[in-house]
Amino acid sequence: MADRDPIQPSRRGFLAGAAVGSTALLGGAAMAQGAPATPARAPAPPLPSREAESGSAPAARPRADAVPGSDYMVDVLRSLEIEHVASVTGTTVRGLHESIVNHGMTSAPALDFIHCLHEEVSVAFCHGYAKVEGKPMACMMHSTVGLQHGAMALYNAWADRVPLVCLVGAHLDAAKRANMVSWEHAVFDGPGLVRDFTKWDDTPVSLTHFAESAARAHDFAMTPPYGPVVLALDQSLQLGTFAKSDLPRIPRMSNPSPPRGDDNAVREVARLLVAAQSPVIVADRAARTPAGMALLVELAETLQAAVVDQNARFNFPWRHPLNQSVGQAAVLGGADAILGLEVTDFYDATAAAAGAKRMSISSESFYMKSNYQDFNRYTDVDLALAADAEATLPALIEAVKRLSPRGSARDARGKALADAHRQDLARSREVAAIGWDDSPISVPRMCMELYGQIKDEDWALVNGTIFQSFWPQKLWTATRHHQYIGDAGAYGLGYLPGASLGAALAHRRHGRLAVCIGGDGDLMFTPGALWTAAHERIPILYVVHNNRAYHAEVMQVQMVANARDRGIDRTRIGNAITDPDIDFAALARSMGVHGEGPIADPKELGPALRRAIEVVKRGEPAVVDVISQGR
Amino acid sequence: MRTRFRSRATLFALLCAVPFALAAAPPPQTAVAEGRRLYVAVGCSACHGTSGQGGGSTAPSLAPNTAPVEAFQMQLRTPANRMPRYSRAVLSDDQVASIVAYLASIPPGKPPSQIPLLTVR
Repeated sequence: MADRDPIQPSRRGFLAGAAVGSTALLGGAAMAQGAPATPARAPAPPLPSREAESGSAPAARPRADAVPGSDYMVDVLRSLEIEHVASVTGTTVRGLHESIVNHGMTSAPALDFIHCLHEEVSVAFCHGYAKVEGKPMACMMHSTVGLQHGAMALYNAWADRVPLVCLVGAHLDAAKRANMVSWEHAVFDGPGLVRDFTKWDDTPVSLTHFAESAARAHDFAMTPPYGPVVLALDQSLQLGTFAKSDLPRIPRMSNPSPPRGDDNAVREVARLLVAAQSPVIVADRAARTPAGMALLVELAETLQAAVVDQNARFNFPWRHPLNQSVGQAAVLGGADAILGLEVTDFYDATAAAAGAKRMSISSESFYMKSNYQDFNRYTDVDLALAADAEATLPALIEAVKRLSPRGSARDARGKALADAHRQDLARSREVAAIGWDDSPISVPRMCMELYGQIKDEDWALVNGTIFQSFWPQKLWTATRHHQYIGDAGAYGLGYLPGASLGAALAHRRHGRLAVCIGGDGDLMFTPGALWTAAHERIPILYVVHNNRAYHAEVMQVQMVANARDRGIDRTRIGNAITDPDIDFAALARSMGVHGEGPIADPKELGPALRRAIEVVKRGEPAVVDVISQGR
Repeated sequence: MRTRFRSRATLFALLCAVPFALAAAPPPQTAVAEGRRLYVAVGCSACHGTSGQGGGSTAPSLAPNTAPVEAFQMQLRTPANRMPRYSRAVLSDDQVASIVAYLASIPPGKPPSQIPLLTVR
């Protein structure tokens, strides 16, 4: 709703209608009479001109060749191959909102509007989408209060090294702020709020400035390490009209190539790996693309080296014989050379290998900030390459192959690792069998009931699995990069409902079955995402891992209470999500989503999942509420 | 500190290696029932699962092959790793014995080969 727009109140600008002055009323009326004909599908109220917005003068009839500034913004976004904008609307982005729905969505290539009910959902939506599609989409939100809502989700994206473009409204010219609401929603340096955990931002003051900054922002977001960027869009630019002939040129997207490791350093890494008796590769955010995963497989097989996947991305096939993620303590403890590929916490990963040579290839060396401490402990390394791991892998593989690492020791190592992988799988199955028929349902049972329903589909798991104790990685077979996208980055709750939808939207075009397992606590941060799933017809199976608690915190507070000899009787206060129990199936149904459950009997879970998947295959979302154990 | 934990963990592992049958006679059913109640009430199940199956990387399995009560006492009173400490003030020796009795009474699960979902690839 416009700060001075008398036509309809918004959720945030409801006071504005009462406060708006008579001049603005006049302006709105004048615009209504003078507005150009709108397309038949767009019964939107007439748009005030910049002058009407300011209240300084009635709007003039737009010239026939006039273009709204925000229409030009849409064209710039399209030139950056941005296809979707997830948004909670707000007065300060109303111009761009109108341009997206009446220009972006009605002409090719389409720029689609994804309707969200919380800014955190809109940012997380972009987060999940980018990890599947490999490119950013945009979120759009109100200045001040909107960005404040979205801030935590931006921190998740920052910590997860994910590209997205955040468009936030701005109301810079104090002379044009009409009332107290528009003043409260005005900030001079809006993006400053999130500057500690975004890669770049700007507040353009002309269309040329906007176009260049948008292209620059996109380049920065997509140069490893990826990250979120912010553009603050002043209302004057959005709502202004410009002669078509005066519109600035739209810059070309430059698509910078990712930084590759220095050749000499790459050769030295290869030498140390080939010389090692027990080399281990630790991968965290290494495989940005399917090609990255294939390259890591090639490197590991050439060396017959153990691979520990830290699961921030799908780096390595889960059932590959060299995958030692389950038995990582053993291989890391016995390693004499460890190569870290985009590892966030290399200190912890290498802590058990005191005498090993440590090598790191990470783009984080290029770009990091100081205030938020997501960079972890400083690690002593023998060789550090400030480079993108995926871009460096081809040269490293070539260098390793030149050293001809074949031989009986290498083959024996590979065989031993394959045996260890088989034993780990067998042990995992034995552990999963314990408590198989329990109620609440055991976590491995929940995971395997889901896998049993999807294993023959082109499935994609769109949640991180740390809170399911990595049971999917332990028991499922996954071979393709798109089948797993990692977790939130900073473990900020409220991530998955939005991120899973963004990922599912990206999977939809490829015909994949998107599924996720998410906690009850996480879902209650952003339950409105379910409405977006139904409204946008996003097909996803959302399995609620309902342990009726913030389970991690249950354990943490128990530790403290027992350390103080107070017992744990009262530690569920503030942790347990009971009394009343939440009915997630009913919650889903209330927003138009198919709901199953609550299901506490493991025998009922398979049929419920089957019914839900039928709904998803029809192109709609479904929720299955599973009463389950902690982890 | 880490060395001390390692030593304690090693001792715990050694104690665990003693078969329970050698350490105690079969427990009375009242102890098993009370142990089951306590196992949930004092929070063991939150991390170790309702059947003592363990919580993945969070907590080890406690059943089957349950450790002797002495090993539990040691781990509870002076825990290794991230295990919360349970002093006698919050969990008596008798209560620990009941919990161990419950865990020892849990029958082994089916072999994975007899659970179709655990044989799928």
